[in-house]
Amino acid sequence: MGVDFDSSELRAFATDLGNAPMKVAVEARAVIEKGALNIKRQLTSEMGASSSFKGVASSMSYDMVLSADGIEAQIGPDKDKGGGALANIAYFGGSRGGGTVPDPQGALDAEVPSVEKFIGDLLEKALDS
Amino acid sequence: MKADADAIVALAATSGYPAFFVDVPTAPTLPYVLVWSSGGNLALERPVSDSHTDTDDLIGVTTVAGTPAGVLIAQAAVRGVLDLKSPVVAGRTTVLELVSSQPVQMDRDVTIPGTNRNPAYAVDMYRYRAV
Repeated sequence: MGVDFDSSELRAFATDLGNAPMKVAVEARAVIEKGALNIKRQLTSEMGASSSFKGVASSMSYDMVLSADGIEAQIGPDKDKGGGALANIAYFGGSRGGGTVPDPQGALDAEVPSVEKFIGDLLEKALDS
Repeated sequence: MKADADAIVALAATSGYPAFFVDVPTAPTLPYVLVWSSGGNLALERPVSDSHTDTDDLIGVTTVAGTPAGVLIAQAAVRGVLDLKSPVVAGRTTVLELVSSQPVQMDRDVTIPGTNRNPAYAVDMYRYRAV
C-alpha cells in the first residue's frame, strides 16, 4: 500500500530556499557553531562536576563539518586528549556499575530549541527578502 | 522514581536473567542485567499547572556475560522484554523505548571470580516516559 501526499508546496519552498542568498548559509553556520559551543560547554561542565572524571573535562571539543548535504557539528570528548578515552566509562559505566555523568543527549536536547528558533528566523528573513 | 526503577528492574528480570539496580553483588551469576538511571528527570514539555510527576528520562541497561557472544544472546532477550513495553507502576502510564546501543566490550578491570577471564558487557539506552 502506498502513501500519496501533495508535495507542491514543499517543492516551492525548496525553490525559494535555493534562491536564498549565500549570506544565509554563512549565518546558519554561525548558528550551528554557537549551538555546538554551548553544548560543548555544558558537556565540559557536567564532566568537570564529577569527582571521578573531572580530568576528562578538558577533552571536550567540537568540529564543524561542511558538505553538500549541509552543516554538521560533531561534539564530544576527543579520545586522543585529556583523558578522553575514559569518557565512555563516565557516560556508560562498566560491567559492575552504570554511567555517573549525565548522558550527552541532555545537553543536545537543551540546545535544540534555541538552534531551531534561530534557524527558523534566518529562513523567514531569507524568504521575506 | 523508586517505584519506576523497581518496576523496570522487575521487567528486566522477566528475561530470565538476574537484574539489579545500579550495583551488583560481589560475585553475581553471569549473565546478569544492570539497570541504572538518574533520580528521574521531569518531562520538559508540560503545562505549568501540572504536578511535577511526569518523567522523561534515559535509563541505562547494561547486559553482562562471560563472553561477547553471551552478551548478544542475553541482550536480545532483555530487549525482548523491555523495548516498547510498559513497566507496571501504580497510577502511571509508562513506556520504555530503546534509543541507542553501545558496542560490546570487555571489562578489563573486573575478573570473573574463580577464573582469569574478564566479563563482557554492552549498554543499551532506553527512553522512559511516565505520566
